[in-house]
Amino acid sequence: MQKVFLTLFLNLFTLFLFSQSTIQGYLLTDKKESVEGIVVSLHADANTKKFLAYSISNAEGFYQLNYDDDIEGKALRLRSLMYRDTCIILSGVKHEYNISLKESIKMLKEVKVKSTPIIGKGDTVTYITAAFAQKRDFSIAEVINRMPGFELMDNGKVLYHGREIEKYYIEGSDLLEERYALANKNLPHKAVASVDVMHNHQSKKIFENRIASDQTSLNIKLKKSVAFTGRGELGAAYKPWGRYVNLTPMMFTKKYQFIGSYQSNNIGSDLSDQMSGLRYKNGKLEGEEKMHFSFLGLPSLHYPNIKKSRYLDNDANLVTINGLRKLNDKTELKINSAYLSDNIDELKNSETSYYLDEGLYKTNELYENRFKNRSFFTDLNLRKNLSSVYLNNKIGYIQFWDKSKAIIQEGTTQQINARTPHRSLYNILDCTLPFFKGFASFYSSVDLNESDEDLTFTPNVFNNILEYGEDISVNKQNLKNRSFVSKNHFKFTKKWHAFILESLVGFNYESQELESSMYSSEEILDFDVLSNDITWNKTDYVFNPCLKYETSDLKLSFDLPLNYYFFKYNDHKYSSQIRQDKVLFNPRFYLKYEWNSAFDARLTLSEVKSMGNPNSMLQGNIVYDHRSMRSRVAQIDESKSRSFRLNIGYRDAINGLFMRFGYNKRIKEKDFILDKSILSPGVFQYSLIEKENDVDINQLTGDFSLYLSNLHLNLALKSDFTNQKSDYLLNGDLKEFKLNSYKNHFKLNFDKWNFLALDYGYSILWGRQESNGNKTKSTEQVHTARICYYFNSKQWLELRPEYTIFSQSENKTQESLFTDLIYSFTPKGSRFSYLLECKNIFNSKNVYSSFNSDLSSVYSEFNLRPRAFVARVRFSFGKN
Amino acid sequence: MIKYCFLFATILMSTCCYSQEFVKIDAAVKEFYYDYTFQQDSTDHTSEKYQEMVLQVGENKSKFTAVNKLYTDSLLFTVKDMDPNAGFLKIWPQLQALRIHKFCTYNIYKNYPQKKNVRFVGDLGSKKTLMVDEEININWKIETQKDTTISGYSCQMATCNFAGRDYIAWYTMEIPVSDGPYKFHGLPGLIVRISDMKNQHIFQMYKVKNCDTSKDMLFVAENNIQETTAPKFAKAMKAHIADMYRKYGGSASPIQYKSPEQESKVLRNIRSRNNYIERY
Repeated sequence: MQKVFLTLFLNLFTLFLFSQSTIQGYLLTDKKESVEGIVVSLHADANTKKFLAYSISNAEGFYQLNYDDDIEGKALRLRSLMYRDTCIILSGVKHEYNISLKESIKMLKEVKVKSTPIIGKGDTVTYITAAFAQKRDFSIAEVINRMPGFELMDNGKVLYHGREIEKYYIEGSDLLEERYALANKNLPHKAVASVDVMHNHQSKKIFENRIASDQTSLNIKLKKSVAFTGRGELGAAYKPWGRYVNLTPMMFTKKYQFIGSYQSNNIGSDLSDQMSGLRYKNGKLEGEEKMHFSFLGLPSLHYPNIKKSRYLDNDANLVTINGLRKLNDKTELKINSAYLSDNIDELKNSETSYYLDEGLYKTNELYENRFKNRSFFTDLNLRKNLSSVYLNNKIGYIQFWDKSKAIIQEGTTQQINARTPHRSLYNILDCTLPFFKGFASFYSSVDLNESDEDLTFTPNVFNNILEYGEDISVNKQNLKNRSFVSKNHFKFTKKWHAFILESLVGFNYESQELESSMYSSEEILDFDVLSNDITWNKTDYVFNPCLKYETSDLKLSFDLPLNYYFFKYNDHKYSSQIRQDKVLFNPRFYLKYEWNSAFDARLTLSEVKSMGNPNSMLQGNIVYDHRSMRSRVAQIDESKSRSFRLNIGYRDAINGLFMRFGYNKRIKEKDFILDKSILSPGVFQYSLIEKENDVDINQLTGDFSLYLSNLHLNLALKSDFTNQKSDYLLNGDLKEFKLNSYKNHFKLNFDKWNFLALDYGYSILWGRQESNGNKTKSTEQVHTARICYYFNSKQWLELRPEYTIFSQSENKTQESLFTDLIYSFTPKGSRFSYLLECKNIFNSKNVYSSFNSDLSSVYSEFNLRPRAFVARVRFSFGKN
Repeated sequence: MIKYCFLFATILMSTCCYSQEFVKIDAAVKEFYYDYTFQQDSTDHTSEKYQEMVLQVGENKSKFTAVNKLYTDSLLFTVKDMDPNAGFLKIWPQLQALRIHKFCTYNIYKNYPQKKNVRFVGDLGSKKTLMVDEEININWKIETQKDTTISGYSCQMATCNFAGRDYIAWYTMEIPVSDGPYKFHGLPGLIVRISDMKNQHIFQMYKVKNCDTSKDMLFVAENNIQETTAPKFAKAMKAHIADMYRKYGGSASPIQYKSPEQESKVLRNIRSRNNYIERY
């Protein structure tokens, strides 16, 4: 009675006061027990989901809804988990509804949101490895290559959103530095939990959260249970007989990291990229201390645009040991050593068209090259990376014993033997400390180099063309070089709100001794014009004030470096001495604006004036190959280049969408140019002479990639258009060289179905060049695919076709099809896989390529590796 | 050393846990799992932490807790009748892996012990358990014009202010439960996602589970429980973290660190816990 009275009272009260409709009542079970927690909602009609008002029934089962308009025809819905859904159409008169509910447990649609394969947290984007891995994959490199935003270069380098990553960490430690290809290619993906991409990563902890960085680094996170892992692979090839060995154990603990490797094969697997330590960073070449820049060597070949393994005829052995010990939380001691023995045979037919005033001059040569490259390096690295101090010291030694031989046939046979040994000892110290509420950095590197190189010609070259009244020809060119390079600077960094002032003061010192001599039948050709004996040293004093302005969305930087060069050059043959000094100012402006975490734009404007390499002042001739001999003038060349670079990027890593557009313009003005004189058709003498000339390069680039996680589909398109104009001299006449090239590359990965995975790539390159009135066109198309069929979880079969179409103005269109077929079987629960492979099923013989320069166009036919059958057993060390 | 301290603390905790009583308060018919992502340091957006939480819904009551805590309680429940040491050793391997962030060591019971009441039971260390009983009426502002789809459910938006923060909630009428994560409730459907305006505390549902056979919804009754209010609990949390900082640092600390860097890392981590969900 009380309830009824209360309802009546409330009803009257609300109607009177607010002139609005109130619907109310009690909810009861069949047993007349009150029902609480029922969602009571008012809707425009029975089919409309959107509600007009709602109420939740209380402990007494009472509900009440107020609505400003007429309720006639409106629907009253009652929903809960434990009772059947009820819907009542209201009459305009009645406002009280006591409803009896029937018990019925509602089953909800069970939803489980799959964790997304890409997770973003702040500046870190995490890619879950398992989401991108396929059954046919073994190494983490194969999986990374399929992750959106990544690109794996043929030389093993990893690009992210078009830029090379700065560091490749494994569990936070940089064990291999630039040689990370070794780990990337051999670390089983099953040992990896995730790959973290760290944007704006500051590798020096002392700068963390203080000085921003524009670099992107990668951290491989292993599964918690993984301490011992790595790759083991043993194989044999039939017809031709061959071997394949790869034993790369890896160990990762909290205190130690170790990667050792023994690799040996003669079936076309290139090992040299696992030694390479050179890279460009911030527009500068890094790792020069470890590189071997030889003066002499065999005539360079221009390789076709297909996988190296298709034509690489090698016999290679690599042993490497890399160990890291964490002395404490932030101090690491590291040793890296490697020895590579790499024998490579090449067979190439080359047709070269020289653009001469008299018309085209063609040569047709068959090259048989044989390289015997041996190299060894070791370095010891101590690194302390604290928030209070950064210290990194590396001492290393590297030696090369490279030899090579070329047999060139063009009617007659010409043999060239090259010996290019080199050794180097270096030390690099890099240290940063807090200093007067800022930071002080000290950098010092010392590098000692020695080379003694020979080129031997059989038969002798340059017969009777030296015009010294004697019958002189050359059978040997020798060049000895010793150098000492030291780079030292002190940098002070001070941050004041958003402004950062960096001042760099330092000096670079370089001294070199270079001797060259030619021999004829083991007798030295004692003519000044045929030999060199120089010493020089160069001191470069640097003062580089740099002002930066950094906020969360805008980064500006003005570099205003002043270089004072002091240069001493002694030519002992010509008894000449040059002392020269020069002040160079190379301003650089950089702007980066981020509209949000996805959109950014980068703009770089720079002007670089540089002095040439004093080694290019050699007045005596040097024979570089059987067709060219070069001399210079005793004056150092200078060049000035201005560049404009604009890059606009869009990055939505979580949804797998990446876009990039870039425009580069570079104008280079030089005051010296190489004059090419024709000694006889196809034989040239190059002389560096003073004459102003320009190079103008325009480049447009675009990238687009999209990952559709629902479809397991990855699409990528990359375009590049380059236009280049430059001057060149031929027999004293200044001529113009024009080159247009347009490259497009499309890539698709699809692995939605359990039984099939598909990778497809298509690239097309159009080249147009104009030189000395001659126009050449070439088009190169390459289709590649990997079609993998999974019989079940243990077996798969993969077809790898590669189809190239190559056409050049005069030559007929060449088509080549290469196909590999691989079958793999992995017993259940085993970490061993057995692979059978037929390489080059159709036994295709040749592949074609072209290379264009101002003076010539080279059309080459390369020999491919013949059909071979390979059986391999592959396993991972440890239980991954 | 830290590991041993953790072991010691866990053993201590276990002895305390053994003084727990388990009371069945309802039968869970549905379970809703949430990802709770929170910024533990209000000044550092990279200090994001993550905990999986679960909302058990019964006929009349509900319980919200960390999945790991629910699992820990279930393990302790299975060995409640055994000898404490033997029981503890039996479940120790499983307990080791169940980490719970300091900000998530609580159970929230709605409509318990009486209707409309929200009971919050939070642990501050192994020896201190505080309980808050309160009747919470959240003043929701329904945004009928805004809708979206989350985890496959069509959702509508509502906003509110609660315990010092402004929140945006997305609820679905497809699940007729007027409940949600943490203390949030009172909308005409289940809250699928709720986050504060600064995105420092985000709960998002990722799994819906029908409990085939009714699962016991347990109230874990502690012996030494103290009653308090929500603002006082938030204050006690701050004091507890300050206390931890004192215990773990300085020369008087019983903990031996391998290096000063390790000590500063531990202390930095403790000090960064300054952004508890409720602030007054």
